[in-house]
Amino acid sequence: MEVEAVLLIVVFVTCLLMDVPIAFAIAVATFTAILALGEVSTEQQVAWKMAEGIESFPLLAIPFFILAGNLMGEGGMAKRLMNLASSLLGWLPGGLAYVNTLTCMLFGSISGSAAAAISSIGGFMIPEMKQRGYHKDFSTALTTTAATTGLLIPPSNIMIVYAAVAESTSVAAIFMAGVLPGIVVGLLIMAVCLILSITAKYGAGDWPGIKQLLRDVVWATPSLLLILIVIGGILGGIFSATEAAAIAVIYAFFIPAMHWGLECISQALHDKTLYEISIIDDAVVRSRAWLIKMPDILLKTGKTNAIVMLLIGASQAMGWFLNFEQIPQQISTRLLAISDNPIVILLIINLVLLVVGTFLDMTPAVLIFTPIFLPVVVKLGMHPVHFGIVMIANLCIGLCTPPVGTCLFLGCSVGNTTIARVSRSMLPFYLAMLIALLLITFIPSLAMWLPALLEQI
Amino acid sequence: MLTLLTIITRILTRILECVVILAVAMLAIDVLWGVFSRYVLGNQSTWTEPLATTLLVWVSLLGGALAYGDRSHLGVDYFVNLLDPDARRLNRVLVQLFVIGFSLLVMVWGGWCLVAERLASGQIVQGLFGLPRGYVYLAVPISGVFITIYAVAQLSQALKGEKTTFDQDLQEV
Repeated sequence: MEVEAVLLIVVFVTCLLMDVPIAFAIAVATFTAILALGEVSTEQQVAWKMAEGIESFPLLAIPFFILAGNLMGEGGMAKRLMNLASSLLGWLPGGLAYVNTLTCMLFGSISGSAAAAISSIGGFMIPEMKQRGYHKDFSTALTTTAATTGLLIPPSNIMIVYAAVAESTSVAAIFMAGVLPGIVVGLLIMAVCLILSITAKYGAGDWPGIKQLLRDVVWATPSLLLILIVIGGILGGIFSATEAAAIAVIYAFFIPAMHWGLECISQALHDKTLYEISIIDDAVVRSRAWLIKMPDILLKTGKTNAIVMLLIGASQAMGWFLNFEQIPQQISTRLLAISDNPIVILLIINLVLLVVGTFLDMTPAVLIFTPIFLPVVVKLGMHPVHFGIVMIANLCIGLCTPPVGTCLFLGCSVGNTTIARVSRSMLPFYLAMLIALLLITFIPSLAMWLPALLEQI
Repeated sequence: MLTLLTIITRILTRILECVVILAVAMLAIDVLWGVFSRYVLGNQSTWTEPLATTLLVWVSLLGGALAYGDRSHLGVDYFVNLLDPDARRLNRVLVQLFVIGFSLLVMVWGGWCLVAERLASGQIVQGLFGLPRGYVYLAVPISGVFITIYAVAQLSQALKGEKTTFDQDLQEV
């Protein structure tokens, strides 16, 4: 390997160990490497690649999905979805565990953020489960793992990030490819819950009755419709992923208004009398309370977006260098020299990603390792869309493991427990995620069947 | 005690925050207008996409500076936390020096050269009323200046051995 490439790795790893923000670590390492290459005006080159990497219309979907997710988190959507899941599954033995999983899948799908799912759902579900006799560490471990399914079930920001760096990957195709794998992970988590619920003798809730179920379906409809609009709109070619994300923003903005409308209607039906309080006054008070939250929501979105975008910009600069030096080709040759058996290579790549995932957050890991590993697996005949799903499913595990696990940390703080105590409860869930990862890796049709059916590939 | 540096950073933060809030809102309205003009008015305005990508560059770079100011960029703090307090402080100083060097050299100087070159070449953003392309990239040196200021503020905190983060300072106001 050339000296510049070694320099890149050494500088990058040193920066990481020193806790330099990863976006800067990537940019500094790339800068040093290009400098060593003897390019003229390196400063300008790196500055240009960073800005140019961000200047892309497809990437715009990212701030919009972040904004939509923030609006939904504040707009009281998690509770409606939870009520629906509770009516559907709460009456089974160990029911609340399934309710938790299903809510995470639904909410994570709509908001596309595992962190938002943990804080919105965990905040409600963990205390609720504790009250009904579920062990706190079990509920925390469950919420932490279940929340990651939202990253596989579309719409999902990490998939847009992947599509930005992977060749010949459309956002629509990878969105569709994530559906079944996401459901598989969810079902395996539920299977763990089933076994643990039987051994721990967790009780069942009451069957709420068909009337309550229907009521919860109606209440959850505004939230569920959003998935339909976003996914349907993209698949139907009505709008691009970016536009769909913008539509999700405006829709999420009006969700509290929809809930308010439903409330008015149900009140009127229930009392069989006219709504007593002045509806207009009520509307004014509520919209003021909602609008006053907007600056904070927009600012939070701007910052979260910037963190992702700087990473993308820096990674694009690094990607340019890697390609210039033909590093992916060299790694590919070396890996294929070990074995040309796709199963062995995929196991090695998965193992590397599992280790990487315990230290790196998901977005930088995807941005750094996609350009390196994708050429290898494409050579083995794997579709880039399939590899994207494998990578995301793999790195989801890293989000839940120490020493660096964003979801685990957040879950522990929401569940008010410690990593040491949760770790034992996590073990069966790690196993479930690993099994899911193997299934997703070695059964390509799990990911590829739906996009092929919908003619997205 | 309020030093000149903290006063400057606070004022800059407020300004940056307002700009980012407005720009994110404008982004959403701009893209929604694109969809609206296509389906309702029958032909899509040509300026919505280039305006959106230009705004995205600005929002991301200015927001990136803000995120640097409140230390919310992703990093791996696991290994640093294993060090003893003195070594950790030394490390903080080194990291800030690193970032100052990078943002001055690449973002401010490199970015400025980039802007000057693009302005001189007369390139424009397609479909955006002849906006010179250099102005899109102007976000890079400006963000670099802000990041440098924040890094200097954090450097002085690290040198003084203060534990308070800039974020906590803000909440006291």
